[in-house]
Amino acid sequence: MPIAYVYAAGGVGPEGSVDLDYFQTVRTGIAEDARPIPLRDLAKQMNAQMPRLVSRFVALAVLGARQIDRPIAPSTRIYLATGLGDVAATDAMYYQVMPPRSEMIMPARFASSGNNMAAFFVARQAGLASRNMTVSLEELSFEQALRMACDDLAAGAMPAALVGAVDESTTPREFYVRRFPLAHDRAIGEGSAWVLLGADAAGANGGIEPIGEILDVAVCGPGTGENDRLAEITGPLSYDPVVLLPGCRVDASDPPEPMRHPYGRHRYLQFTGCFPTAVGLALAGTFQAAWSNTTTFVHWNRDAMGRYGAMVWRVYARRAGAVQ
Amino acid sequence: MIPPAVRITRLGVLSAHGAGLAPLVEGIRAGRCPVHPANGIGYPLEPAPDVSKIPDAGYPPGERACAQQLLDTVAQALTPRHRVLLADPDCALVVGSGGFLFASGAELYWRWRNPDVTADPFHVRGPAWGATLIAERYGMRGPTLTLTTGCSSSANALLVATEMLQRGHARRALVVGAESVSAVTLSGFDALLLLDPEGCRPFDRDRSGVQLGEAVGVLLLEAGDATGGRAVIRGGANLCDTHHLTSASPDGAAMRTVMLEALAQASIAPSEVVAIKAHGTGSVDSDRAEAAAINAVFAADAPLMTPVVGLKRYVGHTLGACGAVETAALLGCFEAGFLPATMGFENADPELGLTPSRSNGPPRPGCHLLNFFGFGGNYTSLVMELS
Repeated sequence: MPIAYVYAAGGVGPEGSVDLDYFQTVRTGIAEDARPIPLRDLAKQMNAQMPRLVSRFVALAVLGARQIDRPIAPSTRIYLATGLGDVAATDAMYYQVMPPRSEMIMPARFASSGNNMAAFFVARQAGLASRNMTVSLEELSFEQALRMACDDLAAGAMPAALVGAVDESTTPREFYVRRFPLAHDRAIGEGSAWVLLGADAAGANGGIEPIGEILDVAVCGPGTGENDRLAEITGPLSYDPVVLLPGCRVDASDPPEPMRHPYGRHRYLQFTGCFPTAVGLALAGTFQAAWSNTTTFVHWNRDAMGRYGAMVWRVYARRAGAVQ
Repeated sequence: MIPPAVRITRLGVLSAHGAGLAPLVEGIRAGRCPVHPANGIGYPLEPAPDVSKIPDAGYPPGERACAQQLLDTVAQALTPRHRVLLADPDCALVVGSGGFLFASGAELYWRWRNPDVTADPFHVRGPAWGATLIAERYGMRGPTLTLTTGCSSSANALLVATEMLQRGHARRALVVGAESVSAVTLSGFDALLLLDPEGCRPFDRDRSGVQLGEAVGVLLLEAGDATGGRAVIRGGANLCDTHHLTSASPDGAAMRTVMLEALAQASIAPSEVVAIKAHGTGSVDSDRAEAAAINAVFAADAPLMTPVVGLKRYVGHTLGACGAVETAALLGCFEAGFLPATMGFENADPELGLTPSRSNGPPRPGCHLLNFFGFGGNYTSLVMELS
């Protein structure tokens, strides 16, 4: 039984829009840290009017959310997940204010660079005035935001939710990995991915049909019966092709027992690069391909504290241009 | 099905009045507002503005001070028995803060002054730093999250934690709000011309801005008939006013909506509210909008009779922490037998049509409405029942 239906998904990642590239045309992956997404060019390409004087993090969030190409009801709630927040702009402000520079900050720069400004601008562009949350839990930020959204949908708190995953890369790598530790062979990525969810299949969003469903999301503390919980999640998954997506903090070659089903595997981090909310881009990407069979995806990950997160979603079959 | 009552059972506070709820409450009763120049944080101009600073109690330098303040306040709030309960998988941790980069800022400044220090300066990995610190210290295994929604952060933490308990997703929740004054925040508010050199004057005719503060607030929420319940959170609401980044809709329309939604969630009418804890920053626009909204909700047909209280002169505007800190302060004052005066308010502003409490009054058992409004139009109202 789904806990939410997916009406639309999209975003921008290291290779540009996931609509264009992910799973279909990008086969090379990224071998080095991804170059920063050229947001200005992307905005022109999308014919998007960007808010002025906003930080790169905010711009990334707004451009990603614009990839949701379905009508969004005004009562839709926003849940923006971020592992690092608006870190580049904030760090820059600290270095500007602190000695030896000791300069005052431009008012507009200060006002527009808080962590929650990204969700504010997304709400403003989409005309949403409902609940607006910015959620963080390190590598499990997106899972936690998705869980919150699904819980609120289940409680009937609103008809729809727009859930986003936004994190930016910063340079140099040496500084980035202090905040988000990565092995030398892991490439850094960045992205902004969004999914539009509803509580029912009947089309709360103006009668549009869902394109998939969220079956489960778990975010659990260490020592809470990880294998049991994962078995609970993966137990009912025998009816579809299943693709396993390992996150950046788990050993893809040695999954826990419940994940050892002969699933297909997709190492999405090769395409998205590593960042705390990369799973959001993976999820959005799976909805861009035209699967010939309804396909189920299982993602699992951990964070540095040993918390673990798992999520399961299905993408409905679409025949035209099928890749399988 | 009727959701279980969500009670506040334990409190901890660290504020400009020192560690503990009692010094804060007694400070409020006596009308004290300890402020000091914001020295020692790397603020670029001299003299640094006055802020409501946490007294220096021998904290270690840099970000370790922020960590210790956070952990000490959690420890202060809890009995040994409660500390053990934190490790239960059905105990949630919900933190509200601007994002904890103030801890990095403190570290940067300390290292600039002590160039011999060479260890890694970036322990603050992201907004979840504080939550992970607390979860690791107490072996917490339940649902954990951090909300960074500006000045409404810890109010939203209270709202989300309440909903988790009402829905049965946890049996108890530790809610934490934390913020330190940083050179960036102070410089930003100064650059926006939003600092009042006279201190916070909520709803006053001559108000001209905020008085920044720093604090940590900790509340333990428990579902059901928890013993020792000190207050019940009946419900709340949050929405986004997309009018402007830093200014409210001038007519207070979005603030009115969030208050009405909170009252609806709590299943009470405006007439059942016995007192309002206003956000009351002392800024010209925000107070004007809030006054308009309060009048629209509570005095549409008659003069406003519900007492309005502002607390920010006592503790400063503690930004992301104000939800937890001011909720604890209001509850502490109620338990100590008074509804506080709105310190800083002297002259009524005829444009507002709102006169907040001028002196400490008797406590008012019943439902209190608490407002918390932040940049990015993030507005939250909570309903807390005191008895």
